[in-house]
Amino acid sequence: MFFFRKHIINSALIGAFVLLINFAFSQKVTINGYIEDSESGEKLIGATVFDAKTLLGTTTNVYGFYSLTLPADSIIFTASFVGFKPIVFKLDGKKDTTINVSLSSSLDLQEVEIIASQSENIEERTQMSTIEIPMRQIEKLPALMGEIDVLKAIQLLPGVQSGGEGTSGFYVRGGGPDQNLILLDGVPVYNASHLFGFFSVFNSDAINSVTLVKGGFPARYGGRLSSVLDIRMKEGNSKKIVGSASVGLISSKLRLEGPIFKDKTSFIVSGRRTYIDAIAKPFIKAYNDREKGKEGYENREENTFDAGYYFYDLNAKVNHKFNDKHRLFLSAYLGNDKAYITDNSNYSLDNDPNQYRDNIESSLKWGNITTALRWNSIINKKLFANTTFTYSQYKFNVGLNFESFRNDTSTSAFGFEYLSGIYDVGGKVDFDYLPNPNHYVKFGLGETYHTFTPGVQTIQMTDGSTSVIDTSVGSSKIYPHEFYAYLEDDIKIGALIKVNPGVHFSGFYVNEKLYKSLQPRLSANYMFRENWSFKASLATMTQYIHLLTNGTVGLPTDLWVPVTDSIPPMQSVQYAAGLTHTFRDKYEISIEGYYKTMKNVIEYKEGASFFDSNEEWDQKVEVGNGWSYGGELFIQRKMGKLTGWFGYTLSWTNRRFDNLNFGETFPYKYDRRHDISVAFSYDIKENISLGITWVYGTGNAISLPIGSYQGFGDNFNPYDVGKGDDFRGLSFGGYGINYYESRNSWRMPSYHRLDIGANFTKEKTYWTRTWTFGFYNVYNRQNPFFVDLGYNDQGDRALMQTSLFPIIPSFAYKVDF
Amino acid sequence: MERILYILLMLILFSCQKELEFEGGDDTSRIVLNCVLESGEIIEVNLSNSKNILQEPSQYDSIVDATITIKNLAAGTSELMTHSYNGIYFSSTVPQDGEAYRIIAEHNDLDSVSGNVTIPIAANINALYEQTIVHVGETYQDIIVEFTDDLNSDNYYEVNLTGKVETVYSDTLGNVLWTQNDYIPVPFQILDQGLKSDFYGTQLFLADDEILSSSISVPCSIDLDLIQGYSGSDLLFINDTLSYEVLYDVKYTKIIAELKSISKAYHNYFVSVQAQIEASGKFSAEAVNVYSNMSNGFGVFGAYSSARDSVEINR
Repeated sequence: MFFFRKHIINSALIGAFVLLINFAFSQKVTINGYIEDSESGEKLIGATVFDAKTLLGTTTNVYGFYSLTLPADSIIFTASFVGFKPIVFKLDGKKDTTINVSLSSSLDLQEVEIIASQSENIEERTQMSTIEIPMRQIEKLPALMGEIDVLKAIQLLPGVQSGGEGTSGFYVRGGGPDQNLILLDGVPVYNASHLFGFFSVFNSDAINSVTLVKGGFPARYGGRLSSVLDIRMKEGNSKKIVGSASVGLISSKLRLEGPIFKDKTSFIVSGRRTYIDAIAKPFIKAYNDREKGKEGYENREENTFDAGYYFYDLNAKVNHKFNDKHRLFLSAYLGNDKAYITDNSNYSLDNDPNQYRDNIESSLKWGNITTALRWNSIINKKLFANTTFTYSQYKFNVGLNFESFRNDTSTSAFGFEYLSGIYDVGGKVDFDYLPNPNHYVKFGLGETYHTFTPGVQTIQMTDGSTSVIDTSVGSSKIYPHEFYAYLEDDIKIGALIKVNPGVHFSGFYVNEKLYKSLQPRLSANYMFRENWSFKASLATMTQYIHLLTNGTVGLPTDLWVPVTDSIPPMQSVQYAAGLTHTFRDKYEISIEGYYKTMKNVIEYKEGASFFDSNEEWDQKVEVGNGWSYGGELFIQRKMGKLTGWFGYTLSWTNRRFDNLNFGETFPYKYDRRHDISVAFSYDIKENISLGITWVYGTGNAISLPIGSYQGFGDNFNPYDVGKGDDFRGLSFGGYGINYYESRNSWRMPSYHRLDIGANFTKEKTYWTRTWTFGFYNVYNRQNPFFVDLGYNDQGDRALMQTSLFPIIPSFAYKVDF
Repeated sequence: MERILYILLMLILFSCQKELEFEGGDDTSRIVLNCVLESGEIIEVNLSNSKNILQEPSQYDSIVDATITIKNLAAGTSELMTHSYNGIYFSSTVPQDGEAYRIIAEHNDLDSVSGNVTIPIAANINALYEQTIVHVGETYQDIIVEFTDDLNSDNYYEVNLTGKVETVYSDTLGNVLWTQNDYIPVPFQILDQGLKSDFYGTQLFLADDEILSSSISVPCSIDLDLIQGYSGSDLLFINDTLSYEVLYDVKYTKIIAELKSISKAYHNYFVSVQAQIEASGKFSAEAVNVYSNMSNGFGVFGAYSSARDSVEINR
């Protein structure tokens, strides 16, 4: 054993020495630049650049930048990307050069297959537990009500589970919904749900790429325990004006992008709005007409009842290229949901000459705003910098106003408003340093100034012109600072081994207390034979903010709160290992096992509810620990007529809290033993594609009583007062008590569903039109939304299941111009 | 096409709610034993059956033919309890502070249940006084209960207030007809956010791990309107015929504070019962399992010793 250890140390020292000598004395040249789509000017993320002679290469970063340092010799420069024609040319390789490459998309199948072999395969990447889904693939999959949804596609990946029927919340490797860092152009999005969680806020028309990291986190990521979902918006076509317009079952979309100054400045604007409120208008009018003169309302002379719901969102981005070294981007997202009810009525009373009017207005509003101002600069051939200033806001507001008038004079008024939210202002700078093909160093730092508004209620009441109540109650605002710094290096050791060691340091300053954490990260990849590799990783993470949520649906009432004296930061350690393999150049297979521990996770106290408003939030939760382990199989085909994936997850997730379930371990609500997802699209012809998804999941764990018995009774015995002041005793015969075997010991029925969709595209003179038809839940499976004890049709006590979505047809019409 | 739409419509309407087969119900009927020992009082036990959750919970069957043995563990004595009525059993044993007891209930058709408890030694109320406070614009009458905790031992407490309420009935001429005294639990609030406790309207529970100081002060805030009393009139009917009008004047004359030193089982049981009751009326509240220290069965075998003091209310 000692011999081997000594041998390894000696080999490493010799290797390092040789490398040092190599760098010190050999002549090097650096080639750098951007790789973009020739048609749109969009930067290509993860494109491969290499020298076909030495086979030394690199990939573009998330901004499409690459830098490759090679021995000064003739170079066969090759740039390629999946679905694009490669570019190959010869360079004399005697001096540093900037080469910006435009790749043309290829529809020729043979060419695509050739290109694939030249791209970086899954087994060549150091990073594990990471999945990139091409937007083109997501767009071909069937969707609920025809709304293409990035988060719904993410839920189809192994290791990721959905919260409930139709919802866009997701749970990664046993973590809670608050443990996912959702980034839109690098800015955190705090509530990614529209329509009470049934749709996500991400408009597919404006999105360029989607990457999910479930484990083996590189040091540049931090702040959440379970996953990072990195969504990048399109930059806007820099060559020509293009756009699209679509009409669907519940919403319409419009996208416009193009150059402001050709090849210098481009923009993209994309908007979406639902029209559920417009569809409901005729029904509401019919209701108002029916109510007129109804028994009990004979004196009502006019009544205007209105109710509705809508959401809209807007993505916009402008980018400007100052020169080859400096580019500036400004991107923004604005989205709002609003549900409202108004009821205004004029009436008179018998034998009363006065005219009366009552106005009631209530509304529920929530929305996000995110903004990023980004500056990409090439400091030198090997050093790339990205400086970003961010603003993120999530606001939730409930309003209720009631006012009564007599002869147009206010007689009484009542107003209630509830406001909660989170506001972030941040800045960060990230550097990519590529000294040679064997090192890819990333480092950076950032700071975010949070403002938490954990819920303020304002009540105003007037009696005529006199103010009776005018008060605000609730938790006061909290202003923490969160900061971090990181350093990582993707190192190639010989031809077979890659490692990515790193460290992430973070701190959180709140209420005059500083929390800090040093988080080591390590990923390693050993390519033990051609097209095969063994990967392993270790990642420690710390999270300083918690989400108070009821957990099942993405309600807008979900509340972000910072750590406190009683609620410490969450921490996790995740170990993962697995095999990856590419075969026939089309299929990628990965098998991974993981074990994750989570410290200081929160759960509601037994009996506590999200809707308790009379307690401070940190009094309603318990702090405990969790752990999750399992295995994931992922088979993906990225090219050809048939594309898509098959995923299977076998997992166990548990929680243990001193004050829950009598201190006993219990399964997490989303502990799911088996989870299967199949998502494929098939191009029948050049203009017709079919999409199909099938999901299966073990039922969610819930608490159900299995028996009942008589309780003790009241603490006070009102009948035992014969002793005067010395009355004694407790009474028997109290409430019936429900008996639960254990917390979350019962399983809902399993969930499974088949969706299908088809796209029919046709080229017209000035545009391309696409009809999309689909069916959600094709075989009309009654999947459980919730299960509760109730009464059946015969009036007997029974276990009743409520389902949400039956088979739902959908259609959409889209025009690309 | 019409047929396809019809089939789709039928499928949609068929969805929504359905009955599930519930295989997890507990069909094993178990003994439910409820007994709380009080220092200086005879022992009383209530015995009943548990039911499957799908059975109607309104009626629980009393167990009238069980054998219940109560043992004083220190003295080594035991006594068979006597069934009185509706599953209620009595013994002549009178437990005292600090004594440990074991109870065993046996039945021919049901599994035997047993449990142990030690009667806590009563803590004294060091001071009891009242003061008027204003909190967020509202005026409250605070009854402050002060006592000392031994931090070296595991102690649990319950604080409750009982009002002695005097109602004076008189005729319309002001002649007093009769006076009635009642004892009713007094609802109060704990406005002091620094005091960690489980509070349920008229009862405050303090757990050992929530007690951080040996000197404890519990400010029980009572709505001032409640203390100030009220008056009114009633019409008395005899055989559906109006007899006469009576005036009544209701006022609190005394607040009795009771400090109970309670066993851990008593604490855990009552706190979890209250939490389950409160959770049953809330949307999305997490389920609460009620604590039981009865092996093979349900219920509670708890104990307490109490100390009392009172303040006169003169308004």
